[in-house]
Amino acid sequence: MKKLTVFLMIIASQYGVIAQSSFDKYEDMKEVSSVVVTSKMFKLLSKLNLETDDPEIQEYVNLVDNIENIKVFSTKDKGVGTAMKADVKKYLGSASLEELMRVKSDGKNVKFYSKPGKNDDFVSELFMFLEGSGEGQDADTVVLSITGNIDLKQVSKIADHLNVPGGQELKKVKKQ
Amino acid sequence: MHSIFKFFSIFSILLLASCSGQMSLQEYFVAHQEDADFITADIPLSLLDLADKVGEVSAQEKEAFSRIRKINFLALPIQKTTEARLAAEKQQLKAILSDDAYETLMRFTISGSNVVISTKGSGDAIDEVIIWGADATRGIAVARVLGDDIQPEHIATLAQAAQQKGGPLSGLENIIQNL
Repeated sequence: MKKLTVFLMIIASQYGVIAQSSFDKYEDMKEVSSVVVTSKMFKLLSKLNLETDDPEIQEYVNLVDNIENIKVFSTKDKGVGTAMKADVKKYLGSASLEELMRVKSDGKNVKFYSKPGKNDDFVSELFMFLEGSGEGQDADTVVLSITGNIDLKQVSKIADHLNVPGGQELKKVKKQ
Repeated sequence: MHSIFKFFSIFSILLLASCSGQMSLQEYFVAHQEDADFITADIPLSLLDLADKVGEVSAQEKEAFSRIRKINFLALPIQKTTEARLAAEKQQLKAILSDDAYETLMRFTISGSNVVISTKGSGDAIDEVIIWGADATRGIAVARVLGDDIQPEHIATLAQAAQQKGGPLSGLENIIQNL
């Protein structure tokens, strides 16, 4: 019995480590551009003294306040892109992510996944994967992950302010 | 009983050793001030000639500036160093800033240069903003903005002022460029 508990604990800790670090390693690769914004930043942003009664801005503040972190990794390198694709596959398998939608435009394949949140309108993670193909602008392989308490109806709003690869694709997310 | 005592003494020694083993950012700055390879600058905000710019500085900016005491700047230019040293210094800075006292706001890597922005303080009141970056072709630079009770809106104001060409913070740019 005791052995089993220890075994389960090791397994559990392993899972924690994998979920944490499956993409973090890309931060240190010189072929990869990355942006990581933490919850502290969003807390500070939501505390900004925006003197406004505009409900739209208020909604925006609410959305930002509930974001834990945003991570974006992008690369033009084919080899790293392939490794990223493999890690995405592994991550989607290990975490309980469901496919939200698939978009194909201008030859680019964009897939969105989400992790269920507190109710139907909210997700605890929004995950986007854009597979690079071809040359130039299309060569970018992009992984984007937003965690927190995210209202899907509001996500397209931050897309305008998120000046990162994949930001434009994010606009397409709507509650279906 | 004896072995428990022994265990605790070893444990506490380890704990103490691990505490003192970690350099603070302040100690890192002091340790590198005498190092000829490093460029250092200690810039009190009074150097920025705010008084001369009456009329150009808004009340909001003045309020934000009043929360900041000085800026400490430290850099290791690529010409003065080797790749191995650069990597070692980068590692050391990373270790110092991974301490719980610091909170990372954001990190980004764009075409090989890393930039990390962290803060130190309690709650919403920030006492220190640390911006550091490393680039394989340029070297390492660290800036510590030291102040008291810096609020998020002060940072927003300062960030805006810093982007303004010829604005109240342009003096700072000149100082850093002249180093």
